[in-house]
Amino acid sequence: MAKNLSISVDVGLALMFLKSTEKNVEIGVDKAFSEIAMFMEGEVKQSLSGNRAEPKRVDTGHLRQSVKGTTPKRFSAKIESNLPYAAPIEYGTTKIKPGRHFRNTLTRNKSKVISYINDEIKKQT
Amino acid sequence: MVLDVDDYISDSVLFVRSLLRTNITDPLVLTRPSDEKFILTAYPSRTVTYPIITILDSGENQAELSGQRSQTSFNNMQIEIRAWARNEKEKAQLATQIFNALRTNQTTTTTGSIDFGLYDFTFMSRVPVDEAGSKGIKSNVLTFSYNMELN
Repeated sequence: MAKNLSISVDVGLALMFLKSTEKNVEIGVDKAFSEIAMFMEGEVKQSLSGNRAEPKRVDTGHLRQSVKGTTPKRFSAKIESNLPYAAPIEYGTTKIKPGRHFRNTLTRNKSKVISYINDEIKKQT
Repeated sequence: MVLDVDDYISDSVLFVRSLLRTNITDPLVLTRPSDEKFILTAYPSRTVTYPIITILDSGENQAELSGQRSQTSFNNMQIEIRAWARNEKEKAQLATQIFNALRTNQTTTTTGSIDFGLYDFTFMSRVPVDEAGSKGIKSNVLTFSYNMELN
């Protein structure tokens, strides 16, 4: 006589585990963006100080001091200066050569930025 | 015309210049001195008559890995195109024309950027940079990026 055979699979625990991992990854990546903001702020300041490929652009030090790295929203980092002459120095004018401190810093460090995020994801999974 | 792998950086800049020359009319077409150009591939080192457009290579990164034992490289190249104008209206018009010329000439057969070898056109940013005073030169710095496959 055949017996009834039943198999039950409860994925509740697995789902809970996946959800907590997802949450941890989100928190970790958000933390990575804070680190990226700090790192890139430092790199732009180093560039302005003449410690990278670009020529030194320090006179009073106001521009260098005004460079701030922030995380205005989740999963984003912003490096900015609120000085009105920051854009003319970065992009140049008919009288000033372009400094390219912000843009070159981004190009130079793109893979480093990606590795910050990848490392954090690896830590959380 | 197809992207020359041995000279892809300047080849890409020259392609964009040629595309803009075909699609944007010089506002001073009748009066610009014959030894001056409207679209340049470097910032001018001598006195020029504005408006002008400059096109510069703005850096490059590897877009993705191509796999083990592959020598192909998928690169992402950024191109800075700057519209230097005499007033706000001209500045806005040139920036719009540049964007539209690049945007609408991607899939055009043989003359489009995709057939040339520049893929994934991306408009990255537009930053206005104006010189002080009403006579100061106004400019819009537009940054675009393209992906390319180098075999």
